[in-house]
Amino acid sequence: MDVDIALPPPDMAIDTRGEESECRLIDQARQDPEAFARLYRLHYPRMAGYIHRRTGQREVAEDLVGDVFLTALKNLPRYRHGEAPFRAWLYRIASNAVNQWARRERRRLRREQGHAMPADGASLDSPDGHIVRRALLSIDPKQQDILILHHLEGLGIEQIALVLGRPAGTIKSRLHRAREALRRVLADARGKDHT
Amino acid sequence: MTENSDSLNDTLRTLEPGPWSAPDHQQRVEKELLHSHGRLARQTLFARHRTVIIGLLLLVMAGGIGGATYSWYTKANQYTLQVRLGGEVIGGARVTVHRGQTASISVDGGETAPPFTVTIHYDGTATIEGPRGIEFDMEVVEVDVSRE
Repeated sequence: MDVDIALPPPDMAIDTRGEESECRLIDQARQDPEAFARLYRLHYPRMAGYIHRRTGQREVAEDLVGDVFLTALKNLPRYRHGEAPFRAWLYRIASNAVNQWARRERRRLRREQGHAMPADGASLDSPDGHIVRRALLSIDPKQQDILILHHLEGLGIEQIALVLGRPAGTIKSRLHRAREALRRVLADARGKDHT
Repeated sequence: MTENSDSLNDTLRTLEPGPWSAPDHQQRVEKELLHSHGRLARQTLFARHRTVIIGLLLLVMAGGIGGATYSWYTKANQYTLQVRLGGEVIGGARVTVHRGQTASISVDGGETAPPFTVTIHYDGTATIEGPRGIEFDMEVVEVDVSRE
């Protein structure tokens, strides 16, 4: 069944415009594969972009994007319209998936501490970006998430609160702590780099 | 935004990998999702109606016991089918079904084989169809039906 309804533009971070139409599409997507495919096509670019920004590795991002949408499909019957916009809900699923990956990556980095960073053909980061990426991966995954959502995804405090399901005040203080943590690690890394 | 957070913004911007474009990957995932959607819908349907299905099964079992006891219960006939495709025998199956009704069978009981639908007509003949939505080379299907 083809669903022909107006939806919010895909480049909006999290918006309530066209929410009613999207609610209808989501309801249809629970039964109709083509409606789910439309939802997927609508949200794929932003979710893939977010995961790519967080991981910095194309192949990892591809795997995680597939997992995220499969999780969304499985949990769609439990999605409630009033709780959070669909895009925020997807961000939450993606955030959990990447945090899980980031924890494993963090352990790997700790094991390799003191060794040279292995050549990683899949990484797209610049040399400077490589240091930042390593620093970012060494802090708590939840702090990584909040930094990327705010600084690269362009989400405001209220929007991050929707994604993470926490009060705005908590997000504000977590963002502050995340910035401090990253600055400390970067200062250490750059200090070592100069010696 | 403070000067400090501006500088952190610039630092994090070095991680910006540029716009994402992977049409092949997008299509591959979409195909997988469409496949999973059907499978999950069937699982959900079963989960939702599990109580009803179990109830019906109990009723059928009770009916079977009742049929053995009381003469008013009419047993379905058991048929042995031989399934041929293009003149070649591809397997056999046994089915217990009333005349005029349709039953699902899997040829030779193979778990991976897709279920076929067999209809036993009132004249004792039978027709067989492949699963809906899947194209089979079943232009010529001959079915031998022998009532046991």
